[in-house]
Amino acid sequence: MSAVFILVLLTTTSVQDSGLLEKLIPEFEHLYMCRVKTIAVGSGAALRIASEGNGDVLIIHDQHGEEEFINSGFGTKRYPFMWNEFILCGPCGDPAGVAGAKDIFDAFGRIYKKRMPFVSRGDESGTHKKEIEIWRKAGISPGKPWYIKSGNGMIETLRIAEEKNCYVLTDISTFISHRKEFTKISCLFKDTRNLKNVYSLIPVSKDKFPWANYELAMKFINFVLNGKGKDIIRTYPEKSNPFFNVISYENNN
Amino acid sequence: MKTIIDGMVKIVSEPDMWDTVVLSLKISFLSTAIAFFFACFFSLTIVGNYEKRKNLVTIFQLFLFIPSVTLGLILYLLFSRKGFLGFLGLLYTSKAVIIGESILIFPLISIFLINGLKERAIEVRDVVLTLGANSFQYAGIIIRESKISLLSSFIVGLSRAIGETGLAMVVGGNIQGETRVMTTAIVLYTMRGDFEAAIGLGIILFVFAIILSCIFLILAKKWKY
Repeated sequence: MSAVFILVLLTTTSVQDSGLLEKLIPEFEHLYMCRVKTIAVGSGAALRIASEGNGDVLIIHDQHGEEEFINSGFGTKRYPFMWNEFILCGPCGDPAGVAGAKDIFDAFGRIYKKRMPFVSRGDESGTHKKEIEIWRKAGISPGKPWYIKSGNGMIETLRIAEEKNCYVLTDISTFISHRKEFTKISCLFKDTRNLKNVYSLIPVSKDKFPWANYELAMKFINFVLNGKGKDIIRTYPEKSNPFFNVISYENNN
Repeated sequence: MKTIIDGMVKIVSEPDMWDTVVLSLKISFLSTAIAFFFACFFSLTIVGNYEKRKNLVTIFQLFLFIPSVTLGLILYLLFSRKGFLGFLGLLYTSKAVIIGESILIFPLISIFLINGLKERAIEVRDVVLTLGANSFQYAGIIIRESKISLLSSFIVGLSRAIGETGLAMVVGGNIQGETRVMTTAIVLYTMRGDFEAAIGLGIILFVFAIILSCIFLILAKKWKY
């Protein structure tokens, strides 16, 4: 199969683990008679690999990183296309009392005040970066011994939280899809305004990387924003309870 | 116990899994064959004049200490579009994984071959050279007298190749159908929490190791003189 028909998609483990791609990609491959090579790593790695010209299109959820990526000319434009929420989970008894907080910054503050155990992704992922941002905005510098870094994916990190009764920031989909595993921790706090987890598509710039398959990347983006892809996302995993909310676009490109 | 049974059932029923297994075998065999080919040349050169060349072995053994992920990263930098060999477009292809694994197990097979062949090589050296053999004939005799060493070195290399994870992840990208091998799939399923699939694949890996060992035993028995 010639290179024209291959699309290298760089994405994050959270997108892959949600299982969405297993529904989205085959449909796109079928419609456009092509092959999509999906590489799922952390957001940081995805940006790094893309900035070295080793991919055609990105799906990530790290707004700051995305903007830097585009400003450096590696990508052409950000196309936010779906979102879900981050939630704060913790020990069922809620020893830090986050349930009564007025926003996520207050909630984090309460955890810090009592030095309650908190486990972080610690891996430069989108989730990790969001968490860092909240600590920063709350004016807190988390550290040992109550703050631990797992350096692992979301599920692993949640399992550590379950095992050690920690607070943890997680995306809602991963938590819900593994709900049955967690008996000692539960969702304690939501803050839709501040904990929006937005996923964007970014095509790699053909100007910077002449070998990038920009045409196919844009077809994929159109497929997701306006085509069948949108319906697939809207009804994944089931119509009544989708994992992600679709962002509507009136105009494309 | 239920988990293990679930795992086996899942493996047998999912078509993706079999792709993964077949791909693993293909990549591992090819890498081992390539590495073995070059290792034979290298090892025969060393044992052919072992006394003079054995210091090289000590230096060469250092390569065994390189972690496979590190080698994977070096190859990523090489094969990346930004890298020296970027124009080849090898990154995230099974070819890159094969090349990487060949480089990885070449020192391993070589060391095993050298240790396996050197006794024979030294034993027959004087006789053979007195009788007027050239280097190629000398090499041929060593090989013929050491079939078991060759076989066991190959199997050592193959087992290492099949078990390789880090390099395959970094250079291959764990792409379904292209570079997702048994080991990288096990990592993926484990990280996702699909322990049944992970264990199932682990069992298949182990079954394959048993089959290989049986073949080795049968051949060794046949070749024993």
